[in-house]
Amino acid sequence: MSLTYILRRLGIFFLILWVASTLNFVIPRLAPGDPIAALIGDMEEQGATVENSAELINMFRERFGLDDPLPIQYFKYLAALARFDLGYSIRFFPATVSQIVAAALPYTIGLLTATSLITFVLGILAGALLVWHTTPQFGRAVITFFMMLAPIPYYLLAIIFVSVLAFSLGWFPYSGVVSVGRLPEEGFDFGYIVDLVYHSLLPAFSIIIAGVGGWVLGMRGMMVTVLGEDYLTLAEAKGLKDRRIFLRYAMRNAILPQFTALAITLGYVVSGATIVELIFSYPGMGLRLFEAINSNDFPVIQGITFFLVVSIAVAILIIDLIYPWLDPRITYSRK
Amino acid sequence: MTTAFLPETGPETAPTEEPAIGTRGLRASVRYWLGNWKLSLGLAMIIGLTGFSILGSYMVDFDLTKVAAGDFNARPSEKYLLGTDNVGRDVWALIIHGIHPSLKVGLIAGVLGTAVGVVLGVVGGYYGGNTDAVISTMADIFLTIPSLLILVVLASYIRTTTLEFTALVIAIFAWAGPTRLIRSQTLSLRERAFVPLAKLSGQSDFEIAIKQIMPNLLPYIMAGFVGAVSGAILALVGIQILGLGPLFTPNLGMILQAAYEGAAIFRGMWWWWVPPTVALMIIFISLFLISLALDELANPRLRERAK
Amino acid sequence: MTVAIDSAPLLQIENLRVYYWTQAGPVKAVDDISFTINPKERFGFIGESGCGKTTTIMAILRLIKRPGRIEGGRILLKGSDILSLNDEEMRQSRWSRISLIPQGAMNSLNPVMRVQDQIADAIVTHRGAVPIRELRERIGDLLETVQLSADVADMYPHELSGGMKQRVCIAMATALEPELIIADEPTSALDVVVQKAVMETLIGVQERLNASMILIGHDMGMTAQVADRVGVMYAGKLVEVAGTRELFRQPQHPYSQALISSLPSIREKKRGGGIPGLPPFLLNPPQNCLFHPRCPHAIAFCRETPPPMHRLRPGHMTACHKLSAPEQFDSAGGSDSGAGAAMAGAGTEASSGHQTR
Ligand SMILES: Nc1ncnc2c1ncn2[C@@H]1O[C@H](COP(=O)(O)OP(=O)(O)OP(=O)(O)O)[C@@H](O)[C@H]1O
Ligand code: SF4
Ligand SMILES: [Mg+2]
Repeated sequence: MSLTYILRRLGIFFLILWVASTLNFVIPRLAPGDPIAALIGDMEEQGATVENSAELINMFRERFGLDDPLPIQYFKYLAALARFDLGYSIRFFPATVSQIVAAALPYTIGLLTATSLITFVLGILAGALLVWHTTPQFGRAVITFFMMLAPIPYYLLAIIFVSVLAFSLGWFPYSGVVSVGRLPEEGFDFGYIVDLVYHSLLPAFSIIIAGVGGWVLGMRGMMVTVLGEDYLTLAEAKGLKDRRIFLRYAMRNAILPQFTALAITLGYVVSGATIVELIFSYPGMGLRLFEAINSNDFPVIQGITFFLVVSIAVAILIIDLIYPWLDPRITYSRK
Repeated sequence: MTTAFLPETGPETAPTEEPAIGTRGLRASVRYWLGNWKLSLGLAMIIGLTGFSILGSYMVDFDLTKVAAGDFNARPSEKYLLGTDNVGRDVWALIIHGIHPSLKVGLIAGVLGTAVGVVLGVVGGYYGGNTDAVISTMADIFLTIPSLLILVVLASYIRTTTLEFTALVIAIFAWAGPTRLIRSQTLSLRERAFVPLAKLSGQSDFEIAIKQIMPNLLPYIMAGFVGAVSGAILALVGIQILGLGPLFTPNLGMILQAAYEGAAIFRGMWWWWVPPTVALMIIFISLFLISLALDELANPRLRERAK
Repeated sequence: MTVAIDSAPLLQIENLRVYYWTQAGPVKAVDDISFTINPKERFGFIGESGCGKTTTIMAILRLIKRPGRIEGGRILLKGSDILSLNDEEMRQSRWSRISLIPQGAMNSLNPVMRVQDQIADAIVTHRGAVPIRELRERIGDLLETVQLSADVADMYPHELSGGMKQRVCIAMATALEPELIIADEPTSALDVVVQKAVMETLIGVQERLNASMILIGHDMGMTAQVADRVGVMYAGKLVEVAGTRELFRQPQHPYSQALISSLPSIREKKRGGGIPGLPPFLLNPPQNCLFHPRCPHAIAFCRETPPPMHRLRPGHMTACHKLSAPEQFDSAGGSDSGAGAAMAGAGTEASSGHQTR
């Protein structure tokens, strides 16, 4: 792996961060007037009383130097971001945005990392099998069915699942992350974990079932390309066993582009599955985001957005850095 | 005798270097496409839905979509075909008047995004170099930053009041996908034999772009467009469900959001949430079928083989 | 000639037919061809692009893919028909009995596997697990037989030059010491100097193993130098089979004559011979003698009756009425007007073709 390669990737990493944070800086200032005062004014207009509003305004003014000229504000803003200082929540003042994020993150990461990985594995295998010659007709039909679900947003499935499986049939709980009032006991509480998983099943299903199709689609396309390659013909001429050709020659090559997509997906994990979390009242980042939007808690909205961008950028950086190890050709061609 | 046996250019070079849609293949492709079930079904679904909504708009009174136009929480009946919601809006009327505005948002954002995408993609792919580096890096960044969230941030500052404005906001992110698709295709077309040939024959870059490259990009442009439309409608619904869209112009996202807010599922008011869900599914699946068919047009290897 | 007539043939192809069922109809890529290959023999295949050479040898490996299908015929390897093997038996005989140096050798190596693993794959599948150390040693030896250093084993395909990849393919093809090596244009993607060296390597390896070889090449000069016998294919048919020297000195079939007489003028070995007119579009081929639209000797009889494979002398077969039914030509009196027109048209085509070169 050449130094230029690493530098280039790092450059892209910082570029993404910079663009996102600058957008975050510019957008609020497009609105006329003092952004913070305007915010609080807005909220009071809507009948909310913001406690300590004067204190809050001062805090923000001081921290972000809102009386400074714009360039200086901008640099102060960037400096604060670099320390992961995302400011205070308006709604939950004096809680900081970072604290709110930290509280929601474990649920979201738990739910979405697991579902993303399961979805990936299922989708990749199914997509590859869809175009593999030994797959029985029935298998193809099942896979095609799931592929057809690809365009349906997961929240529509979630709505249907909640309605049928939770509401009508009562098989699953339809909200929350554990049963009402259930708190973890001291030490290792197995029952609590079971309860947690049970509550996560339905959101997980909707995410997995809605997501598999996308991977199937991508993998199918790559597989079709790889199946036409000369090295596949030669592998067959070598008399290799079918399974080996499938795994080591076909899938191994077709999967490469999917890793980048997987990295982005994992990067997105921290944003939570906003609408699904909403539907299931699952206390992850998505729900926090929704609440923040509804209460005009802009620092939290921006904080979550920024946090997400960082996470995606990190994921992309990581995949870019390990990619040469996955695909030996990358070392040379650098792109 | 021997002069007649002079070597000639191998005939085998002709078919492989031929443009993807040459005139010779045109009739064959038309015939192929008429028989492609994905394309016909997808088009039938989307055209049917659009027709239903537009024609219906002339027949169903728009006032029925207004708050307190009828009874509250009424079940489907002869009077209210699909019942009413919790503020007395007629769901049947909401659906009929809500489908075409949703599609319109997709169309506006899709057209804008694709137009920008085609221009940037062709320019980047054809000229390469720094121009291309800037364009493709920007497109990559726009594809990786979480567009829905940025849209949310944008929409929460600029409370959008009209659907058209929402569409413009969505279009900010709709260009990146088509740009990348078109760019990579232009790049590979440029390498193919007929472009250098056109260059040799003295055509200008512009002429080449229009005459040689454009026709071959057509399936990709259409695919990019369909993808952008679908993405825009998805974004619209997302923005609506989060409560950031215009609240009083009927559209599918808004109906769904109202149903969610009104706990339609848990009150057993299926007539409220099922219709917008089904309509959205029809839209997404039909656009998906069309894009699958376009994929096959661009990449014949994906076609189902005759048994 | 080195044709060993008395020993039993290694491979006998009888009435092989392979069609591609395209949407527009069947493409008869290989239509009723028969030939034999003797032990230790190098059999060359020549013919214009698209005449069915690759299809023929892929049929021998039973690797014809949809929409293609073997429609009929027999392929006897040491007397037993490989078309009657089940899939598992066929898999086992691939590479251990018949190996392939594919047409696209440049892209025939898996880009994400080291050379060593790709060769080892073939060995381990057919011979069972071998201790790593022994395996490495064997692969090192194999690479040496093709004049590559043993270090190549640890490299990835993209780190090798075209010639090196080709040699890796040769080493791989000989790893299990098969009875038959099929080389589909093994040198066509290489530059002239490397071509010669690779061909010498290939011949050396084949002779060491006492294997037979089928050699497809656009470069007829090369084929003439290395093959013992040569088959000329035209539009899915085998039109002439003869010992190399005999064929190149006195080609009998009008197509072979055209192909071979065009040889000196294409020393730069461009694809395809300099034969006037286009090879037939196999979807809708001419009837009976497929060559008649381009043949200077064609008569009505050629358009009406298929020419049978005719034995001129021992070891020299050809399918042309002029040779099997010369009496027809006496009565017809001179060449057909249709063919004359084709020739005239071809003249202009040929010269325009010359310009673009
Ligand atoms: N997958 C396929 N589908 C349809 N037709 C095919 C297919 N593969 C080959 N053909 C047709 O079969 C005929 C023979 O092809 P083949 O590859 O065997 O020719 P070849 O003699 O090896 O040519 P070349 O010298 O270019 O390698 C050609 O006319 C080709 O058009
Ligand atoms: S059979 Fe007739 S047309 Fe065919 S090659 Fe012989 S002479 Fe020519
Ligand atoms: Mg070939």
